[in-house]
Amino acid sequence: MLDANNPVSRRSLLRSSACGFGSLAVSGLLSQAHGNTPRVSLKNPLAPQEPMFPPRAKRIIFIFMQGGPSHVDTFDYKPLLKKKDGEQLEFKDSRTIAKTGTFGKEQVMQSLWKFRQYGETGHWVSDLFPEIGRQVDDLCFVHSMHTTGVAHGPSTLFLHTGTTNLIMPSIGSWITYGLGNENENIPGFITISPSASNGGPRNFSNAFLPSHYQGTALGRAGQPADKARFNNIKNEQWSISKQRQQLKLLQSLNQSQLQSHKEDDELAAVINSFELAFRMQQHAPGLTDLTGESKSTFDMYGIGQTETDDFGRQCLLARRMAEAGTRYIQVNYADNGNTPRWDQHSKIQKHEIHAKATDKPVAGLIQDMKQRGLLEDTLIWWGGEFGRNPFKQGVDGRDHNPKGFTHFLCGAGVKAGFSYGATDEFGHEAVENKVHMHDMHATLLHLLGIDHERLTYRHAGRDFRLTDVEGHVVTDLFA
Amino acid sequence: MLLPEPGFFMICRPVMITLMILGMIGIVDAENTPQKDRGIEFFEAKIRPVLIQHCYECHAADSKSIRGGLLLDTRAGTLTGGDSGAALVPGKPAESLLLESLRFESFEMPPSGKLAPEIIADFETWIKMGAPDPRKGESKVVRESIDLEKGKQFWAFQPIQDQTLPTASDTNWNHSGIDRLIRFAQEQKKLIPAADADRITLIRRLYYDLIGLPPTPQQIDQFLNDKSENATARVVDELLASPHFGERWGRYWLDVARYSQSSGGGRSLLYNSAWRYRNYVIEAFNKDKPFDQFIREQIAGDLLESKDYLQQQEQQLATAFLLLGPTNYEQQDKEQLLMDVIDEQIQTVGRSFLAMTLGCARCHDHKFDPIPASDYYALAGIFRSTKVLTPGNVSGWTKRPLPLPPEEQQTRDEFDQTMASLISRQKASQKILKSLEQELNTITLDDSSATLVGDWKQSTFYKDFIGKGYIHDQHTAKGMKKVRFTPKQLKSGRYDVQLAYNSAESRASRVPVTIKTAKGKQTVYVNQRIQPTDGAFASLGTFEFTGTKDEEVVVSNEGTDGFVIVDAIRFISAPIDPAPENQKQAAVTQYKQTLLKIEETKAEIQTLTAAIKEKKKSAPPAVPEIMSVYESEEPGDYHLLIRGDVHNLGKIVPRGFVTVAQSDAPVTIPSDASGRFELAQWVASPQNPLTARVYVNRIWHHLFGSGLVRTVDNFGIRGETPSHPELLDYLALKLIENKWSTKAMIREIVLSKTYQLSSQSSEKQRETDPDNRLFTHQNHRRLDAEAIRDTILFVSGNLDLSQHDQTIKADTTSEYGYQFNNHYRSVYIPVFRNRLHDLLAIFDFPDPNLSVGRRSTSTLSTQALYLMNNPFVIEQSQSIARRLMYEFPDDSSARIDALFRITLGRLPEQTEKANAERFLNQSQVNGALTQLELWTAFSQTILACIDFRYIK
Repeated sequence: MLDANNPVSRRSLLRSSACGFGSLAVSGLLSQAHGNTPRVSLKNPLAPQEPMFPPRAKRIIFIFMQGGPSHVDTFDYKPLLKKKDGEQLEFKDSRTIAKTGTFGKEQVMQSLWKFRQYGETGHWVSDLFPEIGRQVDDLCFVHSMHTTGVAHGPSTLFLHTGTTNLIMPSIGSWITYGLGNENENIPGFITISPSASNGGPRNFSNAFLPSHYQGTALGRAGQPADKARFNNIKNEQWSISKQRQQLKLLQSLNQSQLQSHKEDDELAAVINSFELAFRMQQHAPGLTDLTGESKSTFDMYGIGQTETDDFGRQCLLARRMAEAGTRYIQVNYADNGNTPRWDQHSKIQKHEIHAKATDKPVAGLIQDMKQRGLLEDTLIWWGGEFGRNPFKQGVDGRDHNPKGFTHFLCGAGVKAGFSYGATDEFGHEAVENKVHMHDMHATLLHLLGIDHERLTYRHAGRDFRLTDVEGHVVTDLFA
Repeated sequence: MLLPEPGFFMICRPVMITLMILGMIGIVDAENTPQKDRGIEFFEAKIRPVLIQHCYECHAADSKSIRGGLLLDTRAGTLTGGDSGAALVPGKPAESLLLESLRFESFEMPPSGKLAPEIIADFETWIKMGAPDPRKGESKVVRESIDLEKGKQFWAFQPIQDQTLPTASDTNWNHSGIDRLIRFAQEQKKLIPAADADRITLIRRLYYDLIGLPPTPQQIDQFLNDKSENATARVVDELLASPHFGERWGRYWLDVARYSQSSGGGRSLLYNSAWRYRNYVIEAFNKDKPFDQFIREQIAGDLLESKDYLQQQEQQLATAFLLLGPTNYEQQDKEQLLMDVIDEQIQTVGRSFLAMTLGCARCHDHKFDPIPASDYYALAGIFRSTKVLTPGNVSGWTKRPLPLPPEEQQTRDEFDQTMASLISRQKASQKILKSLEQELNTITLDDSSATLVGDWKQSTFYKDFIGKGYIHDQHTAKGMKKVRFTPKQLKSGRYDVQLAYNSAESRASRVPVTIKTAKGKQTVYVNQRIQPTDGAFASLGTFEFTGTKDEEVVVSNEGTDGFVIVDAIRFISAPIDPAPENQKQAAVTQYKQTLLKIEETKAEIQTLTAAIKEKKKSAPPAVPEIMSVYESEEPGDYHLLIRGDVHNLGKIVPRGFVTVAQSDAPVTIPSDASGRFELAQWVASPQNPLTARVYVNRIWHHLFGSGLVRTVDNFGIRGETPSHPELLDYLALKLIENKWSTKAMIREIVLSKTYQLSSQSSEKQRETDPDNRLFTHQNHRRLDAEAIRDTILFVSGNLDLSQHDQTIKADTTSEYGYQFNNHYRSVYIPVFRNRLHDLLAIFDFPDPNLSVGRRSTSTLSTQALYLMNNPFVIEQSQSIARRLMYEFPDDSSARIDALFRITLGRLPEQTEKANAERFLNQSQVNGALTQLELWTAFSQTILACIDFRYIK
């Protein structure tokens, strides 16, 4: 039976797959001529792959803040905004430039929130994130992020797939393609409560990579996280024991039908796919079952408190998946609207709702991961598709800002209590040690032991990669 | 000035040799100047170290990858510049791209962050000095141009060759061209082909391959009992004539056409009329529309002659092909959006008809195929001359009304004419009314335009208000509330000022209204318990206004004894006063006449409005809109975009096609046309070396699971070469000979011995030819997603076999969360880019964002989970169980046999039957399953087994 606190121990499952199905498992590449796919075993594309060089991290939890949280109201403190509040100054606003090719004056708007210094590093954090503030000594801030695209759709796709309009695999797909699964009984790439908008499934799609590397959605945005289940994981009609009998019949039929085309590896793969499915059916539901978690754990994530319950559950699910060995886990603070959660074109004060909902859960995840030693080999990545402008939109809003914003990393392989790069004195454009989203992607892959220039896949006559022809690894972030 | 004129550099920039010589002249000149030493010193001290530290990583000959084609490690390279032009103009900092980039004004260099202002100032000084630079050597970016003549030697660009057929020594194989060529190649390798497939296997294969459904046991029996020589041909002809043929083969084309009913991208918009294109495709295959015509219609249907409205419908609908791509309509940079759409069109046309990866030439010459970027922009010019987008913050796609039958069109035209005339009369009257009112100089200010002081409440309780409602003071805070109207647009003159309100007992009896004009302030009191004199408006008296900004009318609630209502203020121009009596009289008369005319005009408008309303009731049905393109108003050639950057225009490229695949002299495109018509003619021409080959190869691929060229979408250098080049050409010529008939081509192939072989292979075959490229046996193929779903529904008796048009549920505004519950054939299920039907998605339905000629076939545990647990599978299994129990109430053995027959087309093997019986007995004993549950579980098991999923 499974330990309720640790439903799918990675080690025990690795052991079972080593002597079980792992070596045959699932196939799908056999029927296709793929060209340049040297990293993938034809027999089992999900088998763990050796990284290209020693990795600093084994897996990533990405906490996606959909809609673009304002960096100048959270982690990027700009005292000048207060001094210049209300002044009309010239800014190269991205949207204006994209639409008209020119730019003009904008009215500076100060932050509504007080900033204070936290921890030994004394990093400034606004009163939106007091709980995360208390973790700053463990965080590695990148204040000089910039990206491509001005609207949500393009920028969200860029964040996830490295392109605004081409059909490209998601970063989670690239990672599982490069590294395989750690644990074959659960998906290697899971996205929790993903949004249907702004690219929707394309943000966790394998695109032209083999379908094994597609992200598995657990629940969806808009549905409470405690209702999130994997699809088709449970038979509502038959008990497990009856299903076992059915499976026995199926496999006996398959064994005899296999005889006429013994040479066809795909047929063995069909048989194995049922074995694996049957085991996933036993293991995967345990991942989403939080009944064994303690009260103090719940409290740490804010589970049970109205504002934080839902996102707290998502974060806790992420920890359980990291423990079980999921390679790439995405937690989505998202809804299904075209103007998503953090998208305060008006009423920037609404940031407070979103900060409240995520502050404690994220801080809880960091603490919990740390105390369990999981930050040793897991990297946490926090951020949105872009930031927001230091100047006003309408009466009290801020428009999108792809030219400068903040992300933070935490855990395996990166410096703790560290800040990198800077925006200008208003927080509008990254100016010092700029990190483009391509660079972030390159850096994340590098932390996992993958050279972003060598992780390629041939499609439509060309070798594609996550970072296209761009991307610099920001080694300064490495511990 | 000893350096050559800077402008000279600019003009000569593309000519490398000249430039290098000039560069050297520059150096020689520099050596002759007295300032030489100081300049060089400055360079060495201030410039070179910065270049090395910040620029060489990407802009030196030994960089890992050279960016933008720019080398800064030699003087020549610096002067020549890269893709964006010269990096600097000696002596002219203002014209130097290098300096602009350092200042982050155009490019932002270095990308890691702006350099210190002192350093940038140094560069400015240096350029002013004439950019002295001792570095020698040539700029080493070698721009190889593509050798088109050499490119033409590649097999795919060679003209299609007429073949002399070889004779196979095995005489059984000399009945058809296909068999002779296939067998001959096998004989070269001393391979023996497999035996013919047994007849059950053959009929099952034919049914699935031609219509995507299994044969019923009756159809199988009929075929087995037909011992005549042409039994197979008869079945093939029946299947080709079936309406389900188009549903099967049309779907293959829809894969290639990346057919979808939503735009995908960030904000996914529904393509509500895309289904018309889908049905056009299905019909095209059912009618066996010649494939060359099919091509012409999809590229340029709107430009083709049509014999009647039906043909016009088809042809216009067909151009939806160009619009169906995944597009981010919310892209804010509209130039980028347009070029992205064009890029997608070029890629899709290239891939689907020519199996060329033309998209690779967007940013640079194709790296592998002989396709220069100029070819790409020659095509881009054609598509840029075609209108596909409609403007907007979120843009849209172009539409047309569906062409109607002549008589309907006539009714429609008549109706439109009458309506147009009524509307234009209405507009004319409205214009007259407006000018009359202006003459009268009447202005009404609604409460919504007033400035409010204090808390006034919006209301619509009492009807007949002006504007969207009125406001009241809630009978509170007396003396604290005011409503201020400022009649700014008023021309100077005398006006009767009137207040609109609704009267009631609860109202205030003495509402103070203060009228402030240049002449002074006057307060009048209104009793709101009494109905206004004019029904809605009560006159406050006549005042003189000068149109200055200080003039205002203020309603206050000070000292009032009830609710104060403010609906609107009206200013009616009053006759001049004082004036001589006769003048006054005349003015009053004129005033009255105008009022009368206003009344008449109002009545006229009312009559017309009623007539329009009445006419609308008899409106003919709305004309459906279709997705379709237009010729642009200003067709013309377009620029080559440097590195594909839409804002970085290079030279103008004359419109044209893919040069390397052009056998005839280049076609000139008329200056008043887009060139799409000419492009369509060229693609669909029998002289085009690619089109016919690509298409017959696609057909072959669908019938064997593997093409003669296995990379069906890539006939380029990175693609594979044909296993049987002669056969490919033989089939291509056959296609052209048979007037591009798809059905004739399929018939020829499926009646060949090669197609009809068993899928059992020998060890020798597998050893010599592991990929079965010589077709010594048929391939064992997995059913595709649609066939799996359709078969499940077919055998459960629940498949709706009729044809459908719009299947997106009415009132659907977004694909998100769309529920697909229906039982029609899979081809009619809506295809959304961000939401696919579960079963289809799990069983490798192609990503509708991409043009896909060859689907992938995966075997995943998610598929197993679907078959084990999804309610759809369980429900359909239950229907099968019910059917079995109904047809064979008492005979369990007959039930088992029947289940195998309907699902797998055959009887169970002995072991299969024994295992089945054991399962049925055991489960019955062990669990408390009902008969229905038991047979449901058993039926479900059969749906999950290998022989269900694979055709031999």
